[in-house]
Amino acid sequence: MKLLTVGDSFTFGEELSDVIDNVTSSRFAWPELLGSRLGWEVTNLAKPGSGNTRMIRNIVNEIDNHDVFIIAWSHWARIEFADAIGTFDIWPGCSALPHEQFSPHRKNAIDYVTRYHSDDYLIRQYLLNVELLETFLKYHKKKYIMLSAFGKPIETNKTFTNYLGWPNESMMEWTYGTPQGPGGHFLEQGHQRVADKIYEYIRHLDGVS
Amino acid sequence: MSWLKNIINRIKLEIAYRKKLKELRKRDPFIYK
Repeated sequence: MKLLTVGDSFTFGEELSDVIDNVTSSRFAWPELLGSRLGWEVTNLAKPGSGNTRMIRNIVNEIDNHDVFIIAWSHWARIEFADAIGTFDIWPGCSALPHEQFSPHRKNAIDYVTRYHSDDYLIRQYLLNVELLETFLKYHKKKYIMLSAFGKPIETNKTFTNYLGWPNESMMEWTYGTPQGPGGHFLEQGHQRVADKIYEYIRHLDGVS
Repeated sequence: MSWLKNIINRIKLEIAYRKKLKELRKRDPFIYK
């Protein structure tokens, strides 16, 4: 089986011991741990600071190349913008400093989003994205699991198929009490817990539906 | 005196913004890379 994972820094494995740049994901991150336990081939397209739109784009682009997809959604408030240089992910309150190396104007977008965003709108867009991606994956008859990396639970009656932990749990709850790096990311023990949790879910489903 | 009121309002808004920013940074403290 060929598994594709998408997510943010928590799926990338940021702060794990073998990470040397922000391009190559960690061999000790949960996707690799899960893949080796299942004997599946893993492609991990997670990126630190990724928003949810980037994940959707990666899934759409790769839909024919993999059998199973795991989408580890980031915070619901992360959104994508684009300028002449390219796309970039921002969220209310995010730091402008990393963006200034690309364009000084990006801080204006961040300032606008931080001052005037609507959480209600961002939550609606997030729920819509999850629903549309689910429909897309089902249309292509692909197996998938969704989960959340972090963030306060969304108050909603909406239910999703194969959204592990929805709506109250994220990786933060599963890794509670495990060591963290200075940047707030759980380390090897936490990644093992996430991999175990997903493995059990797959076993419970008797394969991924 | 309206200029003074404008300045006070602007300062009030800025203080509210700084407070909101602090909360938002706690909500998603991670750095874009």
